[in-house]
Amino acid sequence: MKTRLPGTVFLLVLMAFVLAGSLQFDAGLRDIAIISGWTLAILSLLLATYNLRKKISSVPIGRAWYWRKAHSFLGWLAVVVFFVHAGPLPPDGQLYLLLWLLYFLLLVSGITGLWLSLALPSHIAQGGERLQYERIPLLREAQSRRAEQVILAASVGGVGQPLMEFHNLHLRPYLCQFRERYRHCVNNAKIAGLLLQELKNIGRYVDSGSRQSVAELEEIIAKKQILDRQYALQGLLKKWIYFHIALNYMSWAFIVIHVFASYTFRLEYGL
Amino acid sequence: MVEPDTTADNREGSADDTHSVSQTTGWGKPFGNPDKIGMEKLAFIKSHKPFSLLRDEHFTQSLALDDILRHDGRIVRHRPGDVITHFGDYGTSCFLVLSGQCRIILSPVEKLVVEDKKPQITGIFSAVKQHFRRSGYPESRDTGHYEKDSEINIRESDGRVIHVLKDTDEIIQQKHTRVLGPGIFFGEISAITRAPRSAMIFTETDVELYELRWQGFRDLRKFGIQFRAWVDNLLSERSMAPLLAANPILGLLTSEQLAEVAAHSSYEQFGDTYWYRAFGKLSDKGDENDDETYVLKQGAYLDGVLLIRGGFARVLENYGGGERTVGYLAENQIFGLYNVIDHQRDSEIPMVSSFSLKAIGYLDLIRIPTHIFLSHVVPALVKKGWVEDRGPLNEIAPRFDLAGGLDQSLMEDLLDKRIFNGTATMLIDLNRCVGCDDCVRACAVAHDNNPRFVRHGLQHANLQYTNACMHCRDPVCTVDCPTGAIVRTAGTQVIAIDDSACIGCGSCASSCPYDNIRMVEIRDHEGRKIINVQTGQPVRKASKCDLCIDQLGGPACARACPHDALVRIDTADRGKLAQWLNR
Repeated sequence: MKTRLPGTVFLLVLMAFVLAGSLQFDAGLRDIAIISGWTLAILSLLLATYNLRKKISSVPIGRAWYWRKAHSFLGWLAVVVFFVHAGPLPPDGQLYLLLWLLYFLLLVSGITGLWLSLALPSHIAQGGERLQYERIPLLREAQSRRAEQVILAASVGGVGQPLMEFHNLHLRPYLCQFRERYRHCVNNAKIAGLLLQELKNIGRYVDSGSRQSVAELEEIIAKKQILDRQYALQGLLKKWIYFHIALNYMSWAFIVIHVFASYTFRLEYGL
Repeated sequence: MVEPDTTADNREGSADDTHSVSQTTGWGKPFGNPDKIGMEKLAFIKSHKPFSLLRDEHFTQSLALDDILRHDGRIVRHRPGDVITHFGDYGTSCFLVLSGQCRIILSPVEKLVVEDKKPQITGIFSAVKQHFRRSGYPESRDTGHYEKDSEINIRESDGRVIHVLKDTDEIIQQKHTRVLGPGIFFGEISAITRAPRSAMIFTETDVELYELRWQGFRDLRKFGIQFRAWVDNLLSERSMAPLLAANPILGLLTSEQLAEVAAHSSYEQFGDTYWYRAFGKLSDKGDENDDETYVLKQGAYLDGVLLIRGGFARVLENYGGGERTVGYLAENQIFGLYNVIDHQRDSEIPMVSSFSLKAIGYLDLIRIPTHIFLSHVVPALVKKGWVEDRGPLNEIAPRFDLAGGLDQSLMEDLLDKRIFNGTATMLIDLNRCVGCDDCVRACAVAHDNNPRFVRHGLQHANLQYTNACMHCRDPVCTVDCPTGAIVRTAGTQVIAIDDSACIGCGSCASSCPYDNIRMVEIRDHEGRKIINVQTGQPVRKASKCDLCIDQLGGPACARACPHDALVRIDTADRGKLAQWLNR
């Protein structure tokens, strides 16, 4: 907070200044659409250069950290300019509506991504080990195999029937799939909780020799829950950017059409 | 492994019940073949300095002089042009010329290169070009330049890899060299101080050498009184004064004062130089630290001020029923300074150590007697005004105020895991890292599409010690390298691998306690695996972070992180580390 405060204050002042300036300009009955439109286009271009910086990392053109800060700063500015240019409500006309929606979603995805990148990282591992995203499916498989071994070991002597039934009906489907994809984002462990509850109940039906197996299965369920949660959160952090970039490319296609159409048909500017 | 049964019944059992195992003796594995050092050679060795200073009667029956010379020594034969020591390499043995002639390169003092490691990226344009010229295959190499750029060939002899100079005549003509003939002893400074070799020595003719490893050298120094005096004198003459002068505090002294201090100071070693062998792999380790030896205990009489010469020391204070770490010391830092100053100001204050000092792994230090420090160094400090305003003392002789801004448990962890060894440790703040892998991609771009680290590693809370070369102060990976392919780059802290000199033996990778070196199979630019003609096996090379030594703008990983989550930092610098963590 101590490092962000001056920048945030400066940004808010600038946004207020842009907004006040546009209202003043509008009150003078001058056509603000041309200025705000080209400002937005330039801002969009500057915002897009951040992706280029990430692509050409070998060229020493400043730390990506500063580029990202500039990207966020310009992004917030683009929010104000967008509403000044296009208005707060969706416009009429299919092309304009589509462009408005695309750009709106682009801004929303950017803000969402910013929030995710600030809020999620500290919650991924929850004090435990941060796992490599690409390795999580392998680790999940390993837990599944381990559960099978535990069940097989418990079934020797024919006393492990409750555990085998539990494994076949509930545990195997749970371990083989990536469950509760979105619920993990709010730290929901409903299914894991139900399984642990069920397992606790099964504890009544097993002999003392199988209690160790029950404890191991509890550990496996807890680990699977951690794996799923890490996979969900890391996946969210990795994937939102694809959405954001795809929207960026699409909106650029429509921006070009919009500029071309506006100048060709000499329509009034402002969506 | 069979556990010995120690129950009374079994001890009384018959001989057939016992399980015989061969117990490792204190002698361990010999350095070479002791039988090859015959009486004649032994007599020659013992007739030349410094071995002539040794007396059989000073040694014990179980640790006899001849046994040490045979067990810890070996005879090595070289052909003309063989490199015996490389400038900058870590040496752990010393040599006596038995026959033939060697040459030492006195100037210019430099490492002869096997591969040119100059920065390849010299401008923005070449940086952009690099982006588009990446190989499409993993670990591809241009093997053509291995031969072309090399000033050195490699051959094997008795299982040892030997560098051979291509043109010794040219080197003799172009460089200032001196002949080392039969009976000349060399290499002792590195053998005892673990300092990098200060010169390159190569053979001019067929040469026979007696090589003594440091363990034997240590034992000779322990029992041979005159030998020790000679070696210490040599250390004092050749390296003590320059070592002392390199310290900013002792650098205040005049050359006469420095010589006086050097003459009275002694060189001491604690712990095990090969600490990393006992330490093993960090990833397999718990929190135990059984290889730390006490140098001094809190409350003990302080008979000298201690200057750290090499290795690391943990500073502790008694706390509750145990001890807690309050700081650590690395090369060129001083322990005991304030006790001496405080005692001089007020003689009522006892001359005892306020803290305990432990060697972490190994520790080389110079002990400057207290009375000498008081008479020579303290006046210089007073004159400079550093006793009052402290000047640069904070860095050289830090006051130990617990973790110095760091979380106490983090500092203990940094020491337990030896992470403080790194001069450019990669740390990732997991409170900020989103796992975008921009750092890995940037590293790959800078290294022909081959990332040189894995974004994974041990953690302390939300701080990750990432598996990237830390460019250690004590680069243990370099010690066992048979070809000197992995070395500290001259004038920097960067440990780099000379790709054409690497023979893929993997000794560096197995020595690295942090798992930061990987062995990779290399390919040509068409993606075909490169096969060793002799063995028919794929050629392997060691691969690790080179801190983007040949890139513009420094480490690409740190530059590429969009969340300021990754840093390359000197982990021994507590101030900087605390500043980064609390940013």
